[in-house]
Amino acid sequence: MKRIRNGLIIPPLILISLGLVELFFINRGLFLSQLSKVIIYSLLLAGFYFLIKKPYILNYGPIIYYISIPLLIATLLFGKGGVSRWIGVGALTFQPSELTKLGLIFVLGKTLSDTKKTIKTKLTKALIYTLIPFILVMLQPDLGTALTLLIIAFITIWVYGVDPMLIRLAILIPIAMLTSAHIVSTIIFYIMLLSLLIILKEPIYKKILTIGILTLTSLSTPIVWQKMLKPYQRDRLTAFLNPEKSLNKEGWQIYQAKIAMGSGGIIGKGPGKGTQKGLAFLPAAHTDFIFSSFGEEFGLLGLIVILFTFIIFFRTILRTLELKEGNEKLIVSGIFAYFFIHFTFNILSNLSLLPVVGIPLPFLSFGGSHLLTEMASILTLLKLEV
Amino acid sequence: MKPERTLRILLWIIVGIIIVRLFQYQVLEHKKLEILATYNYLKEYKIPAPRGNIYDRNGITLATWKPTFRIMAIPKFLSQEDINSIKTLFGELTINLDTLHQKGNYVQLKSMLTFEEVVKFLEEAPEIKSLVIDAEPVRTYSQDAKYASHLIGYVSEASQEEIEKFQLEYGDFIGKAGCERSLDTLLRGTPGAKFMALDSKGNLIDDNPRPPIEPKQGKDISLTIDIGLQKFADSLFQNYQRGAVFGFNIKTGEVIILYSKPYFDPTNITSSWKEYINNPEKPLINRCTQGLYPPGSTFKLLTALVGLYSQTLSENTAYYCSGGFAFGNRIWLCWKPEGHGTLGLIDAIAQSCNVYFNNVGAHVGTDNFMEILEKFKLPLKTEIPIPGEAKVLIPLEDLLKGRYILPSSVINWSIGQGEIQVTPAWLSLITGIIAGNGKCTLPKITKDEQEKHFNLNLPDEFYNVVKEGMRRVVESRNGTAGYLYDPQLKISAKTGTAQNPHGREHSWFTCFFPNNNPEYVITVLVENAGHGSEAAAPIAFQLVRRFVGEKN
Repeated sequence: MKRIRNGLIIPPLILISLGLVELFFINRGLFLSQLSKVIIYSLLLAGFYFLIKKPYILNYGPIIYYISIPLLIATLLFGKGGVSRWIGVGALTFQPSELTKLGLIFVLGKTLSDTKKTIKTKLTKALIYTLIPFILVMLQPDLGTALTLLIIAFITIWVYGVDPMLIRLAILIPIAMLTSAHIVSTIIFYIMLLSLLIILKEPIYKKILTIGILTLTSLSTPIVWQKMLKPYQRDRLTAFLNPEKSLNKEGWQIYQAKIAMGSGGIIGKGPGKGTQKGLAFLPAAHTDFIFSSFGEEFGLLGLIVILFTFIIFFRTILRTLELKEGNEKLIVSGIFAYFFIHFTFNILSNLSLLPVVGIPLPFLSFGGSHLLTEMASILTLLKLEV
Repeated sequence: MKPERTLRILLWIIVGIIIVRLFQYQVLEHKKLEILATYNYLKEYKIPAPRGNIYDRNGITLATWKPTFRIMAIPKFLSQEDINSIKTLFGELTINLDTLHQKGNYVQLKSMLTFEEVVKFLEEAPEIKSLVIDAEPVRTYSQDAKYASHLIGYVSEASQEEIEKFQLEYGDFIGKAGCERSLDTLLRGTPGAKFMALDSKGNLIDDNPRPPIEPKQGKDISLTIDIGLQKFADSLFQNYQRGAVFGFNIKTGEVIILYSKPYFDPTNITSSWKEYINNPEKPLINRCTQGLYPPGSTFKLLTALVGLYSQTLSENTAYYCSGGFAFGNRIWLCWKPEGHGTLGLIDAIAQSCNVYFNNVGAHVGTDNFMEILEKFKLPLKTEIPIPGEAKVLIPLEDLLKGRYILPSSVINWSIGQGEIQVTPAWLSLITGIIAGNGKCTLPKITKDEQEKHFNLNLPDEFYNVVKEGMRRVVESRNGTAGYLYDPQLKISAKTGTAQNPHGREHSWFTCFFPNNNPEYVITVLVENAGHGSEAAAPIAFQLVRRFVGEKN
């Protein structure tokens, strides 16, 4: 028990510290701002920890979800800047979509662990709970958060245990989306899909349903791509494929990130010696690209320290997951999904293996909203341990 | 499989991918990306190199440079707002601001500003961070450079074509004429670079992050002309509107004089461009190498060589001049109405008898005349390294293709009329070939150029006869320039009076000196000035007198 507790507290502390170190070298103002957030949130959440008992969290956690939905709508109506992701009260700005992720985790846990309802009702409800914020976030438009919500729901439902068809669908839908980019790949996809469905021994209605949903996906993806995505979003999504070619656009950041990390080498340029972030060549050096700017100054060794700290943290959550049952297990899996998606998307997009969708690196990136959500998630995990 | 287990495997897979990618970036590509990182924040800006100086043979500076200021833009960081304020600040600009980014990453907006103008700009300019003031070396010419303007040429901003061809940048200067053009690659120099550290928004972080690379001034060039002689030639031309003087050393090829009137002032060429272009006197034409004129009697030297070569003429051949020559149903008049009487070849050259040479031409025959000239393989250009030299038109079958050639054409050709058109420089080359008994070095404008030789391999007797005739032009009492005889100047020459459809005859005089060991050739052309002996010859004598006097 104590090991798990340590595994949940110490790695985040290390990561937050490393993030603060890097922020210190990027910009003193950013560093002080983040440091004050860390202190305020820690005190706030420590107070919560001692005041609130475990059943309260399980019962009242979903309230976060119900608070965040109106906030998301408010963001759409009164959002700041061209991308309405932020909501401001005075000088403070906040990104409610971060909170939605945690809210969704609680709501899904509570919904799916309800023993009085049938599986179908529960899944339908879970789907509706996911789609409402998903649509709101897509409207902002914030592709990264929308995707995170979907994957959180997917992993939670998967851990809950459902028909393999649904899992299969969840994996095949993105493939259907990708292959719809070209007619040839679409045809290949459907030939393989049909052969798979012939081999599988399943009721015919499930097979028809699978084909129906996937066909709908294949047909709607090009329409969404052309009509619903803004040019800057399309650029973001494709730039990572060829960052050198699309300098000055989205690819530029990724290219600069590559130069930052690559020029850092094995041991790095040394604290504060990074030229990429220091000269603001990486405009998002302190947020989405903190991994790269850390890599420029602390090299491969520094990045490996970060990676292994994350591994310890993730293994601890997975250990907890094994020990839990019911609602608690679902919440833990949601939280794991939350951290894991952020971790994967952020680092892989830094390494130009995935498109940049504006997802922060847990604990390290500058920003209060995600930090608060992350700390609240850890508080939840700790509370569940009691 | 339990989801926990799958997630654990997934975690390791992703961490594995990350580490492989990091290894690629930070170990395998480290060197390459490290270099990119340095280039990244250092932006390189060109420092134009001063052009090399141009001197005359005595080391007098004809062209040098001075620093001026210019305002440059970094188009990448120009916002629409900036463009608008630039428009209000400068008014009309020659460059289209909306396509500025296509012109490079450092583009000139205004040039040739004085210090006061720069101060004024700084006071009025709002904060346009993408504008930079820097110094630019600008070509300047001496007061006297205009007397040799066709040889020196001028510089001006490179055209789009030149920018592409020579990999220049917008606003760079390039030689457009004269040696500024032909020796541009030497004179241009190597631009340097200065560095600025900029962030992605174009904010200047450090204006001197690494020492600049100093530009290398272009090579200095010493021309073989003497600007004093050029100026002296100009004083001799004060009564004439148009003309040219060309002179060179037949042994080394060094050009000693290249004067063309009217001339232009290379200093203010851009501001007076329209004026020069519209001037009916065409001051931009280099009359020495681009002006084509009928050679008139000066061509008789070549006719004599053709005749001697054809064996229809010898030193002793005598013809009678009654004042006219009849061929077919036409009569060609000699310039001397009463006729020269019976003449030998030498006297015919000295007195420039038309009828004698009409006879020579008639005996050679039209086709034979062209064939022999073909065999001489004379160059049609002097290949002097000044751009735009015109090809002469002499009776060669290829050149006269499509023209109406009559059997009587040769009568005109023999006295340098008809289709024939030559430049003063080319005529100097012919005189040089005769003076050097067939051997002549082609003209060059700097000492360093390689010598190019021409050899017209004919028997020495041929040349000696012609040269004797040329000596008597000056030294014989009956010679066409006999009245100018000065025993101090050992000149051999030939006068020419070229009829032309544009008014009075052109006055020609071509000579070499000294007689016994020919070294220099000078040819003078005065447009529409009448007899060669009256206008051109005195000018040539004055020039030779001065040239020889200065040499001693």
